[in-house]
Amino acid sequence: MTRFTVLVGLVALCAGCDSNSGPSCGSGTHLLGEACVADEPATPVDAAPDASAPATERFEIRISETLIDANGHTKREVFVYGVRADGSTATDDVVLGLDRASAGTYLRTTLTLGTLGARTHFIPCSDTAADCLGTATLTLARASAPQVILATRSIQLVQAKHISTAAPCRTGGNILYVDGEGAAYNARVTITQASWQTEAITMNGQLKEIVLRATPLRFIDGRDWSLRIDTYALSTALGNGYYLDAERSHFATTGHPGLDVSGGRGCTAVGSSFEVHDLVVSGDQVTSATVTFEQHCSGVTGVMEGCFHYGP
Amino acid sequence: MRARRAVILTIIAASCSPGGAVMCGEGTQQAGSSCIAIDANAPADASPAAVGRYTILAEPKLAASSGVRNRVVVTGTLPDGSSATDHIVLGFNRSGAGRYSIPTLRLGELGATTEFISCDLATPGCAGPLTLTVALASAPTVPVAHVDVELVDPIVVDPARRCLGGGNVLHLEGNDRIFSGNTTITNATFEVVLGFGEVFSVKVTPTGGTDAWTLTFDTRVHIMYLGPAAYENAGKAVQYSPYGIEELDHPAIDVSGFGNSCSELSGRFVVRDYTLNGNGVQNATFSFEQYCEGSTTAHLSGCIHYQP
Repeated sequence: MTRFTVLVGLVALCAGCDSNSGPSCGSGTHLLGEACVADEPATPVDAAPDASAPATERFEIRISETLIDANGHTKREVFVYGVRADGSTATDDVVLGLDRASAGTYLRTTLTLGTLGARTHFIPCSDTAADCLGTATLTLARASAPQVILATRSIQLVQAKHISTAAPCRTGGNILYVDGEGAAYNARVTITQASWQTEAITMNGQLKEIVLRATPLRFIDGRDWSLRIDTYALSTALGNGYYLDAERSHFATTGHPGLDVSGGRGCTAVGSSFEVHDLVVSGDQVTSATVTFEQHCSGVTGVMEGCFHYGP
Repeated sequence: MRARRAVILTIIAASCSPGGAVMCGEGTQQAGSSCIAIDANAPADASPAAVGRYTILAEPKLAASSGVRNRVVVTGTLPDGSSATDHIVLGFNRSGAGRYSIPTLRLGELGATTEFISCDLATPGCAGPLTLTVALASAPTVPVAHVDVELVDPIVVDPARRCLGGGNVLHLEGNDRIFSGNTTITNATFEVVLGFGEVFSVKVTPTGGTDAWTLTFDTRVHIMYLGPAAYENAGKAVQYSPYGIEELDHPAIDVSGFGNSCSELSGRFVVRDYTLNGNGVQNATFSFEQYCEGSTTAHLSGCIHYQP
């Protein structure tokens, strides 16, 4: 007979959570995956949560990816929501927490849930900092009872390797995500409604440059975004992989890849980097590609990072 | 002992009530947002639908307008607490009620998001209750979650529509000392005082008068652009203020005029449209609510539409 554990409301279960050492499941419960679940008496069920049990309220905290490069700056979207026992959405004021402060920070720690939940961002620690790497737990609690954990989500902070993150561009269809700070581009935008164009340029049979363009349909998303990457100053063709120490596309000096991400304002890129994933080219067009980037502009503070996905 | 087993039951359009709500069939019950049953004779090969918990989130009132995209969020959670990554299909229980911008999605760590685009209010039978459903692509006729919504007059959802009758319009509804009553002003001079990406201030002087209404919407210390969005928890905007006087991390609003203004103010506003070009503001449509001196009942609400 299969033992079955029932997810139950965490309010009561986690009343004894230790705020210093992370959520510890209360008496009669245990941690299963990322949730406290009750050590229910055996219920002879082999599949779903027990439908005959009274519905309880439930809360969830999600993050765009749980395996996170600890580069100290790339934000990950956090989504929280709650559903009451009657099926309606919870509208509580909630607070977000971490089981260890060394893991990173949130842009906002207090949120008000709406019918579509609420969202903020998590900024990971830097792998150069002590106690950064390893497992951490994101927590969600009511603002009125911040010690009572309603939901948790585990993340794993690892040595930074990738360039920025592709997660915001992995939700389907064409997407440009740009997050900037300082004078480079002080905003964050996700563009899905746009007209899209691509170019692929080959020389002597080698792919040397691709251009992905987005002309947003909404004013607020800016205008005439483009991402241009090239390897004219490298001996290799452009393909999947990491490209470090990039300079401005078309102006890169020998030994440097070229990068230019622009929303209508030019930038003399220095010390920038990008990563090409899943590149497929057909003739002079890009069939599909995901490019993540971090662009630094000469003489300008701040970094502009993000991803551009073109294709299905 | 025979194992009792919970399965998600098939919900098809034929089982929906005329009113639009999903009715769980005989031997089933509604739990949260799913119809579920205890089926002692169910086969042991659990379908994917039987092992996850799915949620579909939407605003309870959706504008009955084909020009409005209503956000719909779907999440799935597996019994071990991890995120479901199924391919899903979105549906609804009333033909002709609208469409989804993307009806098939793949769930990810953040679930998946699409938009429901309603029929138009003027279409007979458009307004009214509607049930949005989500099913696994592998079993598209078996909803695993639903949410009940209502298609309503777009003005209910988007008060700014009241100001879109043509030309420049200021509409006010209030019961406070700033304004009490209900008025729509079109015969007036509309003058942009501040028209930048993050702040819009406009002065409306009714023709023949000397007093004026001044409306200021400001996100300078909150976000860089007054983009189409709802700006909640707004504080008092300080007109002509040096940068930074407004409360940090909050948008700011101030609607005052005819010698009346709030010392303290809270409120919200919605930017429906705000377009600038090299010549300044080309289009602005805002709606707002504000409350003076901590009141939760006396308020002023309305909308403004401006084009040069």
